[in-house]
Parts: sequence; C-alpha cells; structure tokens
Amino acid sequence: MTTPTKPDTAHKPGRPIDLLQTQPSLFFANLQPILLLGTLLLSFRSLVADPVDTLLVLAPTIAIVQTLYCVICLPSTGDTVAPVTKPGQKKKTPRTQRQDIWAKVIVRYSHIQGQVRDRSSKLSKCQPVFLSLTLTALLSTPLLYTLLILFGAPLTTHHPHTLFLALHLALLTTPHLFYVHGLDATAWLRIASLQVPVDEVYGMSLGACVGAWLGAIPIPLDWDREWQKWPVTVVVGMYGGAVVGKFVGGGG
Amino acid sequence: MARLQRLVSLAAANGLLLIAIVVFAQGFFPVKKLLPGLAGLEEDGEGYGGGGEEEGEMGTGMGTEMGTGMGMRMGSGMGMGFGRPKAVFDRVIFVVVDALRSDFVYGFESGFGFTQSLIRAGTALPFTAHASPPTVTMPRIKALTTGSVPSFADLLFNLDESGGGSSSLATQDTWLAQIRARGGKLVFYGDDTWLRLFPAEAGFFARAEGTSSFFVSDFTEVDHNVTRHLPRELASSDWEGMILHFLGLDHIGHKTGPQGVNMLPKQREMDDIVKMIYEAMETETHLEDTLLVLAGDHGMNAGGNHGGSGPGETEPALVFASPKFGAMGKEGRGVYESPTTPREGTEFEYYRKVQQSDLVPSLAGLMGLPIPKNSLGVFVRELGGVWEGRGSGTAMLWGNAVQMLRIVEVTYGVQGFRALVESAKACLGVGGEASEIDGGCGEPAGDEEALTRYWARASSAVSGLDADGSADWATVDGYILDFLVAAQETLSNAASSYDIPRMVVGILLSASALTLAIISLPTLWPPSTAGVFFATASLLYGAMMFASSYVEEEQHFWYWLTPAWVLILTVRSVSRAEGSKRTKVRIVAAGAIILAVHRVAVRWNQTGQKHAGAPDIVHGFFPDYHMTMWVLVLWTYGRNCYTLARRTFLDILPIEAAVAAAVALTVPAIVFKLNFTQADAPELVQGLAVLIRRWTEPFSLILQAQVTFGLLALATVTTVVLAVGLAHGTSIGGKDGPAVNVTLAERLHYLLTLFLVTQSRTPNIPLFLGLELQLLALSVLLDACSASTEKRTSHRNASISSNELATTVLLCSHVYFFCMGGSNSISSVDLSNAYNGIADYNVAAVGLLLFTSNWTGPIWWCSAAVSLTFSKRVKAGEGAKPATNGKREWIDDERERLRRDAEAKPVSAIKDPATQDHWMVYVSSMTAFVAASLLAVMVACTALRTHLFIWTVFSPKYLYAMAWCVGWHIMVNAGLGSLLRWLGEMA
Repeated sequence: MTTPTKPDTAHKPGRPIDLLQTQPSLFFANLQPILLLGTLLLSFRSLVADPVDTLLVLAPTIAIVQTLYCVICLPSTGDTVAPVTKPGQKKKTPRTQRQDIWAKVIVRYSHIQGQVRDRSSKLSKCQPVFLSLTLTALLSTPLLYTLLILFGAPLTTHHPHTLFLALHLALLTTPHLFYVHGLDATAWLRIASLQVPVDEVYGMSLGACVGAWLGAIPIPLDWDREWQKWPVTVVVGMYGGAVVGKFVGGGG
Repeated sequence: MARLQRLVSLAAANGLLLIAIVVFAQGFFPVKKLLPGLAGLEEDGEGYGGGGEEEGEMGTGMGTEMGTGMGMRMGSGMGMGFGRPKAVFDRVIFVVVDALRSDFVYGFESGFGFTQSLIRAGTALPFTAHASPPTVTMPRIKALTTGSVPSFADLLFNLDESGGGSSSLATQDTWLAQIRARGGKLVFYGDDTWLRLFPAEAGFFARAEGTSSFFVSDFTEVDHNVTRHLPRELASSDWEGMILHFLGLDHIGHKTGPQGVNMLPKQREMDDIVKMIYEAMETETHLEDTLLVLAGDHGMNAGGNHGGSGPGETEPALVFASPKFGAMGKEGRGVYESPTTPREGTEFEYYRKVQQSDLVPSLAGLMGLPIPKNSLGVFVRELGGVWEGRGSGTAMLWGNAVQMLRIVEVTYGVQGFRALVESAKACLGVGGEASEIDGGCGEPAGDEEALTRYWARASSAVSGLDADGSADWATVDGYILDFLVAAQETLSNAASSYDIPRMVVGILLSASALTLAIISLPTLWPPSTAGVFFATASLLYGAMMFASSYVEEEQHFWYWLTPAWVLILTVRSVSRAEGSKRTKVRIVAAGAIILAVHRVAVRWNQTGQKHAGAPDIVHGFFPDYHMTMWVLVLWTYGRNCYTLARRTFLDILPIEAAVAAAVALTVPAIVFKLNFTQADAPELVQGLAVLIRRWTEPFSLILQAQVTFGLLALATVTTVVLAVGLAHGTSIGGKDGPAVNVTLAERLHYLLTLFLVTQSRTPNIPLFLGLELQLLALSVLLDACSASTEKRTSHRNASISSNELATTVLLCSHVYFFCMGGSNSISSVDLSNAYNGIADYNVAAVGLLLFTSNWTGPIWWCSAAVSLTFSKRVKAGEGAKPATNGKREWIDDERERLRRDAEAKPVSAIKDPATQDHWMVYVSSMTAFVAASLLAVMVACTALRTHLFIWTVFSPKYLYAMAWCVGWHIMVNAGLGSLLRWLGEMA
C-alpha cells in the first residue's frame, strides 16, 4: 500500500505561526482587537435588548474583520507549499483519498494558487479565505453549537440565541485556524489536543473558548440585571477572551 | 513521606474534621435558655408589681375592667402592676391548615368566600403571620404553641420526633399546657406531628386521632379523617381547646404547586369547615364564648414547596373569628376590605404583618390564660378592642410586657438590667415624658441599653397612670408596644447568643485538618493538571460560599465545571494515547458520551431557588409520558439484573443459579417500587400493572421493602463469603495480586446499585443507566490516560492517575447530588424513601435511609471509584467482542493474556509506586476538599453572622456541609469505600 503523500501544511505543527512581516499586516493585527471589542461595545445596548437580531447583524461585520485579518496578516496554508502531488496520482488511490479529502481540497487550491501567485497575491488569498469562512459557517458552527449545548446551553429554548452564539464563537475561533492549518486531520487533532504552541492565532481561539466558558459565571447571580440573560455574558466573555488570548499568544 | 506517616496524618485530619464540626455547631446554633415550669396568672403583671391580692383564677371576673383591674397599687418593685382583664373566651377552636399561604385566604382568587365575608362583616380579624425559617411543620407548631422562635438546632432534632428528645413540648409552657393546667380538656385531630410533640401516651389530649402526612398523594383522606370528627366534637361541650390540623392543602401544593387544579376546591372545602364551625358558634349555646383561629403553619413557594424563606414560604394567613368581634368599635379594629391586594411592593403581605408567635399571648389574653413563659409574642393590639373601655387593652399589653421582661432579664442578667433601667429612668426625665428614647441620654449603646430605655419609658408611663385617671391610653400603649416589639426583635435575633470563641476554635480545627490532609498527599510538586484543577475547584468553591446566591444555586458551579474537566480529560487522553486512530476515536466517543449524559442529567430535576418550579424532565415530561418512564425504569432494573447475573455471581454460582438469584433479587425490588409509586405518586402509575398490584395487595409496603432489603443483605453476605472463600489461599488474595475477571468490589457494586435504586424516587431511576454509561466511558478515558495498552500489566491495581480519579468523582458526585433533586435548601430534603421497611420509628435506621435516599448519586460514585481503581483483566471472556474479525482477534487476545499471566508473577513482586495507594490518595484528596469547603462555610457563617440570610441560606448550608462531611466523606468515602477497596484486594 502506498502511503498517500501527506499535504504539507504551511507550518510544522511544532512551530508557532508568525504574522506576515509587512506594514499593513502589523497595523491590522493591532487594529483587529480594537475593531472586535469596539463593535461589541457599540452594540452592547442592543445586544442586551435583542440578542438574536444583534448577533445576526453583527455576524457579517465580524466575518469581514476576521477575513481581513486572515488575508492581511496571516500566511495561508498554501503559501509555502510546493505541491509534489501529481494530479493523476490521486485517482489511483481512491481509498486513502477519502480520509484526507478536505485537506486535499486545500492543497489543490494551494496548487492553483502557486501558479497564479505571481499575478495577484491578494486575489489568490481570497480562495482559501472563502473556504475558511464557508467551513466556519457549515462545519465549526454546528460543532460548536453541539458543544455549547453539551456545556449547558438551553436545550429546548433559545435556539436562535445559541445558534448565533455558536456562529460568533466559530467566527472568533476557526477562520484563522482553517486559513493557516488547512484541513489536515493530524494538524486538527493536534489543535484539539492542545499540542500546538499557543501563538497569536491559536491563542485567540483558545481565549475565545475559555472566555465563553468563564462568561457563564455571572448568570446565576441574583443581581437581576437585564444583561445577565442568555447569551449576553457569554458573548462578552468570548470577545474579551479572544482578545486576551490573542495578546497572550502573540506576546509569549 | 512514609506511608504510615501519611496514614496517621490522614486519620488525624478526619478526626479533627469531626471535632471541628461539633465544636462549631455548638457555637453557631445557640441553645436558647428556656424558663422551666408553667407560668401562673399572678406572675403576669400582678406579681411583678408585687401586689398579688388579685384573684388568680380567670372566669371569676375581675369586676369590670376598670374597677379592680385598673386600681393601681404601688408595688414593692419598680413598676406598677395592674390586673389582667377578664377572659373574653373560654374555648378555642384552633384550625391549622398546612401551608395556608396568605393569598389563599385573602386574595381575589381565593376559595375562602365565607371567611372573606366574615372579614368584611368585621367578625373576623385578618393578619399575615410571619413564619420564620425553617418553614417546616414541626418548628412552626412549636412557635404557634410556645410563642418562642425555634432555632435551627430544632431542625437537627427534627428527625428525633419520637418524643424523648428535646423536641417534645409536653413539659414546656404552651397555651395547651395552660388550658390543661386549669383543668380544661383538649381534643386533637390532624397531622400526627402534634401527637409526637404532645405525646398521647401522657394523656395530653382527651381525644385525639393523628393522620400521617407520609404519602403526599393523599389529597382527600387526610382531611376527611379530621372532618368526620368535627360534628360530634362541636356538639359536645367537655373540651376547652380543639385543635384541627388539615394536611390536604399542603399535599396539593407539594404535588401540583399553588396553581394546581385541586387547589381551589380544597380551599372551598376548608372554607366550608370554617363555615361549619362558625355557624355552630352562632347557634350552639355552649359555643357562644368560643374563639376560632384559622392559621397556616407556613406558606409555600411557587413550586409548592417550603422549608426555606423564599417568597410565600414565610407568609401564612392568620384569622381570628368570633361573632363577638362584630360588636367591637370600628376604631378598635379598623375596617377590612376583602378580597384585597397585598401591600405594595410585596407579594403576600396582606393586612398587617404580625409574628406567628404573637398568637400565643393573644390567645392567652383573650382566654384569660397566663402567657407561656418563653413566649416572645406581642399581643395583637387590634384584639384589645374586644374589651370594653380602653384600659383593658393596655392592661393586657402591660401583662405581656412584664412577661417579656422576665426573658429579657434572664438573657442579660437581672441585676445589670435593673441597674441600667434605673439610670435610664434618671436620664429620660422624671416625668417619663421623653418621647424619644435617646432624648437626654444620648444614643443607646447596643440592644440591651435600648431595651432598658424602652422599658423605663413604658414603666414610667404606666406608673404615671396612677396620678391622673384619664390617661392618654394611646401613648401608653405605644410605649409598651415599643418595648415589646424591640424585645421581640432583639430576642428573636440569635446574633446575640453566638459563641464566637467556639466558632473560631471550630475554624482553626478545620484549618488544621486541611493542613494535615494536604500533608497526607504523597506528591504535591510538580502539580499535575488534575491536581491544579482540583485545587482551583476547591478554592472557587470556598470563595462561592460567601455569596448567598451561589450557595442557593450551587448546582450551577458543578454543572459548569464538569464539562470543562471532561473536555480536559478527553484532550489529555487523546494526546497521550499512543495507539491507533481507533483508540483515539474511542476516547473522543467516551468523552462525548460523558458530556451527553451529563447534559441530559442536569435537566432531570430543576433545583435551586431562582428557577424553582421551572420545567424539567421529571416534572414536565414524565407525568405526560409515564410509559416512557416505566420503560426506562424497567430497562434500568433489567440491566442491573443482567450485571448481577453476569458479574456479581460470576464464577461463584453456576450460571443458572446466578440468573435465578439475580431475578429473585430484582423482582421484589420492582414490585416494591411499583407499589410504593402507586401510593406516593399515583399519577406516574395510572393504570399500569393492575394485576401485579392486586396480587401484592395483601402485603404491606413495609413488608415488601423488608423483603427487598433482606434479600439484598443475604446476597451481599453470600457473595462476600463465597468470593473470599474461593480466593482464599490462592494467588488472587492478597495485596496487589494479579488482575481477576471481577473483583469483589465490583460484585458488590451491582448489589449496592440495586439498593440505591430502591432508595431513589422512581423518576430518578433511569439516571442509573446514564451513570453506568458514564462509568464505562470513564474507564476508557482514565485508562488511556496513564498507559497505552501495551504497557498494561496484570496488576490488580489499575494504572490510572489517582488525582484524575479523585477530581472526576468529586465533580460527578456533586453533579448527581443536585441533578437528583438536591439543593442547599431544607425544603429539598426528600423524606419519601426514609421510612422504607421501617415499622416503628428508629432514629438510626431512618437517618441512614434518609441519607442514602438523598445522597444516592454520591454514594454510587464512591463505589464506582473503587471499581475504577481495579484494572479490568480481559474482555475476551465477556463475549462482548464485536464479531468482525472475531476468531483471529480472539486468539490474539488469548495469547496476549497467556503472555501477561506468565509475566504476572515476576511483575507483581516489583512494586510500582505509580499504581499504589489509589484509594489513599483519593481519600486524602477528598479530605482536603471537604476540609477546605467546611473551612469556607465556617468562615462565611462567622463573618456573615449578622447577614440578612444567615438563617435562611448560610445555616442550611452548614447543615448540608455537615452531612457532606460526616455522611458522604467520612462514612461513605473513608468508611464504605475503604471497605470495598479492601474487599476488592482480598478477592
């Protein structure tokens, strides 16, 4: 049995991701937390008043911020890939192809990008970033939704609340991870089992998760405040956590 | 540190914990000083003034109120005495309706139409009587009869209701005892709690019949058994006091909540009883001087439960009714609208709010009885209007004040108090005219001085009455009331009687227990992930004890922490597992299963205060889908029966006998549970299994439970004897022998499970399926944590991390305590399974059953933890292997097993420290947690002893902390767990 050629991820799993060392990159990397927290702060009042609509309206904004962050600041999965796969080879090993099919999609994109990179580097980035966002919406959101439920989100009520909460959590945690790590199963197993160095990208994701978890603390208190309702504190917690995690990861 | 040293340290820590609990409790729960003996009439007011020539007996009439009553004589004491006004009533009918919340009588949706018409007519005086927590029946009866404020210490003796204990009221001064003392007869029908407080064998009641409140599903019989005596008793005239205690309304509350469909008809039924009595009072001549009192002993919350101090629980109704009140001037009692709305800003405060204990002096005053010595009640001033002339009411209040003064003097010391009174009189001005108590004397320093000022002012005002005949009654009344209310408040507030040094000693003891427990841990540095998590959880938990809302909603803490820990555990297992992808998938699946079961379990029973009564599976789903519930329940029993046959009796009984034994154990348990549920919660049985129920009808529930428990005991003894006998003299027995198919600890685990299932409420039984599933998944997680499959040896000890085990079990124990319906409120204590198989009251047995029925989950997890410390030998023999590559894998497994068995002997000789002493590390960790939590609760109770919620939130929490420490930690973890562990090592 021939070993399928593993797609090289952009970075060896043991090494932290470095930001692109360009002026706009450094600028936007610092602007991103301001944008995230600023958006949340500005819409906090309406978030308390009407969480579902606010989260829905905010989602595209956050998605754009995250997209720009990916495109401007981060090295894409395929950026340093020298694709060694020959197109014909894949068809010969259909059985093994199945397990890494998603990863290969990325590689395939990278392959194409490799050819077009000279022409327009920015444009070529749009494809992986589009893919990252699609995966965030279609894969991470349902997964995180399930996880939120398992962690105690209301099971029979507040479905839209939890769904949009999951969407926002997904937006804060996964687009950049998809963007830099692709869909390599090994890489994601390492991500899931905390065996990736806490860099800026991973720190942000981890911080968002921990922040969301900590955000649940004030809910049972008997202060009888409007903002104690589901899911306001969790939203605040995860935005705060994401920013803290980003700085801890980036600084460390 | 050497093992022996650690063991000594651990034992010392647990010993210190026990001492700390007792010492702190003695300081925290003050035992009130009770004045012994019965009060005499001459003591009330008369004796104080030193007069004493007043006729002592009521009924002979003291002239008219003014004549002798107000004939002032200078006493030898410091104040004035004037006689008690004559009795207005010679009989009382005291109707207690359990859980009669104020709005049930006074509100717009009330069924008490007749009572409301009496209120409108002015012949009934309505009040809301504040019931101080604990709002359960026994302490409330105590308050309604003695007038004292029962402390939380009474709750500790609540179990000991059998009489001999301090809870018996037979020897205390009550208005019942006072009626008996003057030769009156008492009759009683209703809740048998009264008969435990006033033992029938002492002949306290001339006629009595108790009804049991055991099965709350009984809405009608309990009340019918009271009502059927009523016409006969109303016709007879030999009694002076008739007490009726109706339980039906409380049962309806517990079952269906205050909005239940049966609530309104029950209220109408109670109203009809009021009507029957009142009409008899109007028509029968021997009842013309009869007072009717309608009272609730406590209220209920939105969920229909009570015990704490939630909205509605502390606000029962209190109505005095008699045609005589109609003759009172309107200025005396005021005009009452009915139905009406509660006072603004409150939910249940209708009319004026009085204390429950106020009933006692009021009743005594109206009936011409001496006020019971330990009463902290204040005469209800509206009732003063029943006497003609203003002075009588004042005289009554004065008598009340003198009685109260005795308690004040005993509390603060007679000499010191009198001296303070003298100085207060001096500075308040000679004429006693000062209207402000700080006028001329400066701010009073402390409660005692404030009381002396009030007393000085009141007594000066009363002695001033001597001088001018036309007194300003209202002012004097006001002064006396000021003293009475201040004294009531001060004396009811236990803050003055904390024994702070003892509490501090308790705190220091538990702090040293914590230190010793930490010392007894083998390794502290470098900390493991589990260790860090465990320590953080302990710290957070400790901090949480200072926030009343988190104490009330403690379940959220455990529900919140557990998924995070399971996630960490899963992630660590995945990263440590060296095996194939399949192993990793297995681990992730195991983690997901634990999380999923957890998620369902936390919705099983809604608990806590904030959302009490919110829909959950047990109360929202099962009543509608009782078939589903029974399928799950039978599945649980079936699965347990299977494990009994296949695991418990494996190798010690032939398979046919094992199956027979398992069925013989399970069937009586199911039948008992079915019949018990029919009695306790018929809505969950409905038409099911009529045949079985009919066949077993001749056998009482007690007998059925005894059969179940007896068979379980027999099976336990047999299993232990056979298993130990088989293992004796072989390489199996002995410390750290080779792994076996099934250890004795695991055999006993399934027997214990059956016992715990029997002790659970029926809707909770399916949770045991989830528990078994979680245990299975957990063994995958923990196992993979420390060693991959290749490294697994044939040790009896599982190669798991003790810290991870302790953390997991700690979290799960608490989660299951709460999701089975537990909380930190007294009202959530489930008594329904505390009397299984017990015919006559036995404190030890009831205590044990009560604990096992409320701590079912934690006890189960302790046994599960023991079985996790033993390694599973092989799975091939189980037949549970999937048949995929069956044959070849099976051969491989066999080879592997042979190889391991061959290795076993040399390996077992070498002691691997990593796999040693799981149980000791576990107990040490738990001791550390329990000591830390106890320390936090004690410090919180001490620091917040003047907090508003001290008696409603923090004291119950301390009681629960005691139960967790003594019951769960010392008895179950250190006792039962160590025993199981030891047995598991033997066989």
